[in-house]
Amino acid sequence: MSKFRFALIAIAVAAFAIGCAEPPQAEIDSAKAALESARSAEAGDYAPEALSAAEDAVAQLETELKAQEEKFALMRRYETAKQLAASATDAANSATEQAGAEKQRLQTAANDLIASTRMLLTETTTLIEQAPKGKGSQADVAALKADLEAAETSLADAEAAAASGQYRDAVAKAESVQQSVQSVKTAIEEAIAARGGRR
Amino acid sequence: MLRRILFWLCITSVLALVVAGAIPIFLGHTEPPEQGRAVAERALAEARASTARTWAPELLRRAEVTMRLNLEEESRQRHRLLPLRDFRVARAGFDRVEEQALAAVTEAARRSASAKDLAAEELAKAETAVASAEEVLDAAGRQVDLRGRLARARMLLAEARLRFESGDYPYARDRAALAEAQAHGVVKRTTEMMERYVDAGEVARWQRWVEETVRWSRETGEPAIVVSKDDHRVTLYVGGRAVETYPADIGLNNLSGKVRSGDHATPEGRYKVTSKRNIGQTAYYKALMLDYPNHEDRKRFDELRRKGQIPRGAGPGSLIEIHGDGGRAKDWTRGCVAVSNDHMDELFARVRVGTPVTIVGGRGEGGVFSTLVRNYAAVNHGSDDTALD
Repeated sequence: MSKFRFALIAIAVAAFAIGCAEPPQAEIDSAKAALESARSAEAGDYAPEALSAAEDAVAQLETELKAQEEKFALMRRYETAKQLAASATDAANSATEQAGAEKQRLQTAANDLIASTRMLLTETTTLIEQAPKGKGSQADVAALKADLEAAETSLADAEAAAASGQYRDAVAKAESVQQSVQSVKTAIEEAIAARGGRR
Repeated sequence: MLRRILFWLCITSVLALVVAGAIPIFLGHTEPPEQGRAVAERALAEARASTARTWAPELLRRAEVTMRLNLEEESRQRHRLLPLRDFRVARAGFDRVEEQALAAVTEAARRSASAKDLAAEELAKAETAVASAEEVLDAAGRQVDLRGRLARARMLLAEARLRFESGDYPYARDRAALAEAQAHGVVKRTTEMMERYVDAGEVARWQRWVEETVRWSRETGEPAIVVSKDDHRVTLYVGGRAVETYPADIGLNNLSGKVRSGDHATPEGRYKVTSKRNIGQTAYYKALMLDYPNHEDRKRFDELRRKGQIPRGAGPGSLIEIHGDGGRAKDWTRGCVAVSNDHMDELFARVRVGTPVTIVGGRGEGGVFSTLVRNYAAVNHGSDDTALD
């Protein structure tokens, strides 16, 4: 009888130890912190799909945690929650990484485009001094110079946008400037060609 | 007896409790809404992945809040004893989440399409405005400052197009609106400068000069020349009849009358040919020298100098001619009137020293500048030039 009682007590203690599982708080906190980091890294703008996947993963984790809380304490199991927390952390970290990569790509694209546009502008400003200076050409040259001055102002706006991290704006502004300067350069080259290459 | 009654009362009570507890179970109210929750989660995930985040964030948030509240409601019911659980509210709530998520997606699509339409409309207006500004500025000759403004308008328009193509409709609309305002400002400022060509007083004065010149030609039978700046035309009269008309280019500063040396404007007034320069005697093929400045020109110059409107050291100018190397369909001279060499040959042969040359602004209509003023009067009425900043 005493052996039987002892066995009962042992089983009860074992059940209590197994049943009173704690939620994987460290992993849960890590997942939530990773999601906040992704949002701070502007993943909503630069990696919206990845952020959406991370948010879904955290939502699944929360649903699983709630489901376990609803159970009788001895019946709770957190292995699935632990896995979901790990997946959510990975998804959030991936969103952060993708956002960083996309920002870097846009920053590089903006800087490259601004640099190439700056070179084109310098080249065209030099070229215009070699434009044919014949009868009646001064109005055309003055007009083209006005176009280049306006382009210089707009390129400065593009540089300011890039400096403040607005890379999409910077790219759009630089592209519009490049189109304008290229059309001026083409006009000068055509005028030079029409004069038989004499400048 | 009493014991028997109590016994059967107990049995009846127990049976009643069991039946009462079984009814909700039988009706399915106690069954957790697993499927409903899964559908709601899927709908919410799809809404998050769609453009709802950008275009209908408040509707997406509403769906998310509803989801959270119903998850809590489901949890509350799960904590109850089985017969007392009622998941009907949570089940209905999850259905609502699905509806709200779908509504967010639908509304986002509608708003995006509407924004796209508005941006496209603004882009079209901006393109029309820039084309108008190009038209008026092409005619206006030397207006370097306005040319720079037009270039800015073109670049704003290009930027708007690029952002439209990448789906950023609000920004595209904003840039297009700026481009339109800039371009309208250019049109307004330029056509205001052209308004002297439709001024009733000026037009009447010019008409009178032309009539006097034509009458003189009729009375004397001699040739006379009338130059109309707005029409860009040189007309040769002989015996009072217009016998030839030639296209003409005028001064680079084509919106003003001549005031001083170096202003590149063609003067308006009544002049005479003072000498004829043949090939080799002028830089522009052949030339008919005029007696600018005449008495009226000097009088006007002196008056402006008294008012301080003439730079120190500047004179009224000279060397105004009708010469060749023209017919370029643009205004490029430093104040002279230029015709093609073939037309110059004809004029040269038919006029002599002393031939009157009357240069006027125009007839007030039908010319390059007068037409632009009238065409853009409606645009100018509705715009202001504060956009030229």
